[in-house]
Amino acid sequence: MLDIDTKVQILMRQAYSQCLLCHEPPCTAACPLGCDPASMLLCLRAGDEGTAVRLAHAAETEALYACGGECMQACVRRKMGAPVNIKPVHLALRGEECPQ
Amino acid sequence: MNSGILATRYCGVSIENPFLLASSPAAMHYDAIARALEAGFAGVVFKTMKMQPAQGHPRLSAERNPFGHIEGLSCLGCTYKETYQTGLSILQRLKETFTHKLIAASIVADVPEEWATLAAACARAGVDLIECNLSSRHYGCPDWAANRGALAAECVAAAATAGLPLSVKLAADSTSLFPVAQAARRAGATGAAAINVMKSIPSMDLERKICPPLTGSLGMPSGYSGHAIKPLGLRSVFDLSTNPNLQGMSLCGVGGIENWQDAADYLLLGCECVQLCTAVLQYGSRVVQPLLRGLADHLCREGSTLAGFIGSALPNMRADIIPLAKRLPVADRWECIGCGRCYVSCRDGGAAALDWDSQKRKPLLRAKDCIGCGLCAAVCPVDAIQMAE
Repeated sequence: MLDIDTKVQILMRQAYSQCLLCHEPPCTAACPLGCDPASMLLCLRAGDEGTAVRLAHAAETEALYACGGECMQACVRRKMGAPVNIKPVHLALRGEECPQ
Repeated sequence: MNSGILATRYCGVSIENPFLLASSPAAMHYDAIARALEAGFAGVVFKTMKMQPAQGHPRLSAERNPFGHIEGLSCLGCTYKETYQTGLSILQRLKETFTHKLIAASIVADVPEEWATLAAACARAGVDLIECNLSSRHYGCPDWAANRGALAAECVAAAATAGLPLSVKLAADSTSLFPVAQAARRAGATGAAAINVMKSIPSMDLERKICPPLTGSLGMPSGYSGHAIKPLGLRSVFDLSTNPNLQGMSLCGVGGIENWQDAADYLLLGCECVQLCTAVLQYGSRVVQPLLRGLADHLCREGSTLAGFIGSALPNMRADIIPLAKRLPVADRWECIGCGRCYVSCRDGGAAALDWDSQKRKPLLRAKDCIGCGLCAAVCPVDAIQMAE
């Protein structure tokens, strides 16, 4: 299990379970930092937290904080009302809190 | 609440609505049962009693979906922890206070003489009905699936000597469902409640290498209940409803009822009433109120009575399987959000009859390759695909 707070884990699970697991995922295509949020979320869904954590470390922390959340802008789930909270999940996987 | 529209019967006993509190931890304390009856339950089947109070203590554990909702509850249960005399004094008090409610006892025993003793004591306490727990998985209870119902017949015949209406609680276990039901019927049972908990191991603890409910260093198989077992319950009552040897038996649907639609499913398949347990364990007995309102509203909309509604799906159902015609998916392109899940599932798990337009992010059907299975519609997160007959 991830070494993070149980309540954060529960919120994280609810967040990543919203992911539709898209084909040719627009979130990954949109990332200016070359991260692969779609694979990260698929790993979490399938229980492979180790790989999810590795994928979450593909970018520098500063760059991640500074990014404009292009993945969430591109998220297909926006068409159902709101995107998957990809950025908070990404940061939580790095043991960091989302600045919002 | 117009209770008239929901009035029904169980084993010939009139009840004001089809919702009963199942024999369970929700049905062993006077105050909790009284609250449930006041909330709207039409009756209660008290926690299963044996001659001797249960050894040990129960343990529960939950299987949850990612959103935290309980899909199933694993229970290492035990029978009533007090003496049966204590239980019957509670039932007697309930009957005196709630004269118009169905007050039923659930019993299990090891030998026929004990069944007769317990049943006679129930009759003296003034209960309306006895549910013979012929599917108990509790510690020390008989193996009902063995000997093809002979044991069940002896036990039910002994219980029948008390002269009360008898029902039997059955398990969704293909080796015991029919033999036990038929034997019980021949021995005098006029009703059956199905299903009891399912034999289960919900998951394993990876580190301790045992299954929940954790019992220190030992794991034990448990009984599974909750919404996850509803399809098994529906199939079991359908099998009972359509069995020619069981015609006329009063059926009570149990297993995974959380809303009025779940209850309606059981009623459509011929159940005269239903029992709730896990929903009450989760949400409290207040859950019965939206069920009563929802079912009553539906019957008003449909313009039918509950008596007309019960079993009304059975003429439309068949037990055998026939070759099915091919149907085609029809996608509402306006509703489609372009996730591509239909394409992935059809490509890897279906007939590979969809193409994918990467630019428009839309699936395209090759009708000649489609086998009409409906996997695309099943995985669509926005129900944008319907299967056209």
